[in-house]
Amino acid sequence: MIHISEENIQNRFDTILCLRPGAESTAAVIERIRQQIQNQRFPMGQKRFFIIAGIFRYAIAAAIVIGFYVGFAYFGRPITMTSTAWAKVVKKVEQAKTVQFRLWVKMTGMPDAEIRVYDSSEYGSRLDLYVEGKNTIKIYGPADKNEFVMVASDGQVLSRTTFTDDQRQQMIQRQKDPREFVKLFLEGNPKKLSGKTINGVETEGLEVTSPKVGGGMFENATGRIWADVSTQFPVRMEIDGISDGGRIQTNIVMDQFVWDAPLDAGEFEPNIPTAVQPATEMKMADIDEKSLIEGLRFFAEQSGGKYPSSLASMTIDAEFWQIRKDKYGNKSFAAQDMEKLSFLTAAGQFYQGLVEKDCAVEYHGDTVTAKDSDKELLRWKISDDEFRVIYGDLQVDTVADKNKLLDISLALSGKKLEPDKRGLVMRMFSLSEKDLIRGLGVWLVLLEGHYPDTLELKIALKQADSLLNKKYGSLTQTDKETKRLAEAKASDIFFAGAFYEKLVREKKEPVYYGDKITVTDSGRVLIRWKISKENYRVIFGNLDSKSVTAEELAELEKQSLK
Amino acid sequence: MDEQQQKVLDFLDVSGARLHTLLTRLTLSEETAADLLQDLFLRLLNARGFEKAQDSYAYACRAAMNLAFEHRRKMKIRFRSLGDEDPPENKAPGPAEKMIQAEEAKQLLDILSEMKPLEREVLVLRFLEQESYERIAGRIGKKEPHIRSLCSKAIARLRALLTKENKL
Repeated sequence: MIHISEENIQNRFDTILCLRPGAESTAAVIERIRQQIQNQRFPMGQKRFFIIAGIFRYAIAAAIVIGFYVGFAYFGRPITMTSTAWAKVVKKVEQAKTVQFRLWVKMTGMPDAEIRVYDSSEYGSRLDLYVEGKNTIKIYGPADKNEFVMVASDGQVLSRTTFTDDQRQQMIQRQKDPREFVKLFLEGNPKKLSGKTINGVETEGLEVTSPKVGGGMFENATGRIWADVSTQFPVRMEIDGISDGGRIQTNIVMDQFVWDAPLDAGEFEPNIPTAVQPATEMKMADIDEKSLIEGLRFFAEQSGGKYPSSLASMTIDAEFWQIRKDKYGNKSFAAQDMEKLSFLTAAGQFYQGLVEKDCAVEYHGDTVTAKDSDKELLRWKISDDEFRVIYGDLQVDTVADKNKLLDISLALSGKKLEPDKRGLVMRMFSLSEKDLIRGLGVWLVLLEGHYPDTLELKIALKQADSLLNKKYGSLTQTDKETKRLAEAKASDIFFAGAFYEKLVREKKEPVYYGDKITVTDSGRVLIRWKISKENYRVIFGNLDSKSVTAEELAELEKQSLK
Repeated sequence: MDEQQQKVLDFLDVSGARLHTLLTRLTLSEETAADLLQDLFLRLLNARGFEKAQDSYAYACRAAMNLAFEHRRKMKIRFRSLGDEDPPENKAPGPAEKMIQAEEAKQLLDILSEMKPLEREVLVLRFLEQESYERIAGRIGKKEPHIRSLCSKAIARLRALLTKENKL
């Protein structure tokens, strides 16, 4: 076996240190980045190609517009302005009882969508979604109900989504509306645009570039607004936003504004016969841990056990729709899965909240799968001393900050712990399946492909001591390096036994077959224990591991003992 | 041009080359480093943390390390899944010794990418940025003896992981 010395490590670092990019290459890349920063344009990266069939394209487009619409309908805070002219614009907008406008959305990887928005402070709101000029779906949001109803052009009621008063308030806080957009313009040091005539109307415009434009939907965005010089009402707004590290570009245009025109109550009434039931009844998901878990579960169900590589909303969306496309092509989404989609959205929003609150959040979706019951998928700090941990199998636990616990224990006892022993103590605190597998691996080397008859600590350590002495010689006489190696092996054996005894103490019904199984028995059970009411964890002869049901275990053990 | 854009541009002038060098060392590829540098500055442009950071270089350096090691992990997973052992960036022909050195360097960085972020950061700052313990302590916000101990433990862990890797 090659043993790596510190000198070898230093040499490796030195090799890397010798690497230096060419001066010309560095100058070129810096110049390229300079141009991009100055022009605020970053390459789109790899484009995502997928076509969403059925109603999803509309739902996605609707989600974008609802971001504006919900806030627009219920927004009631006064807006203070510094610019007199633009303050008048905001005031006019605030006083308007109704508004109608057209909204175009163009987004990387999505079909273009056109939405017509009708809003009345008295009756509520309605969104008509068009694809290729044809009205396909209408979404109704009555003023007196906490719900959205989605109706297809043929009259079929596709879905009803209900939400609570609290959720309505959350939406208002999260979303930004066109009025807020005007306010953000003035806060963001806007640049005055030269006046232009839009559809015969003389206008003045502002432009601003800031991540704030669009209310946090984008990593960065440029917004432009033009208002009628004589009426002071906005006539056109544009937002060009980038997200997902520049890979997704969104262009939104709002135009054809009609302010304060009378609207008929009937325009806001879906007129659904009482006998007709929506294809899907949904409740809007709360943005909490439960929704996060449901969202992750749904993703894993769709992906065959994988999780999104990142919990950034746009990444979840991109990976999810790619999986859908790979799995189902352009086939529409099953109605019963519709509600689960809202959990996915909530998952991204919950994660974003943790990041914003600086909860020391760590996510490992790129390596952990639904099978990894012993691996942390996500953790975040819930107090000074505790973490919340979600494992690969989506079990949740609150765990203590073990380093901190150890410090407290040491302080209380007045005892000191040598720095090199701290790792061992911490390992005892964090015993896991990994320790067992690592220790069993050491046994395989010492016993040349076999396992010890028992993992009980006293017996196993005695046997290990004799084998290690035989392999490395007496620890008092051997060199420092060999001694360190032998001690590491002994530690691994110890922690494997400690983990086994922990399983016994916790009554997890461990059963060990080391006397019958060798490393060549790849499909046969070496050790198993209970991980939940119905499931067991199994480690096979070749040290592969798997979670199985009680029935599967019975079959495996039957085969193993043949 | 807004204030943040100007700040990022100024920072690009002062530290762009140094970060490009660091990224080249962490990825062993000039081309990848250039892409990651571009990605890094896009993030800095939109990062509130960078806007508020007292030590802009420390912030950017950490972000660069995260990007580089994230890239390494992705490459490793991708190539493993294709049954290929080495990413193409290391296939440059050369004398046998050079190839061994390159392979060892790659292995070291791969192992680093699997280590805890703090251990990794300390090792990179110490050995690739060649910072003093005092300076590292200042950057990370811990005391110097703690950093020395952390570094020593990280080296020991790195040795153990490399030994294990070579055993396999």
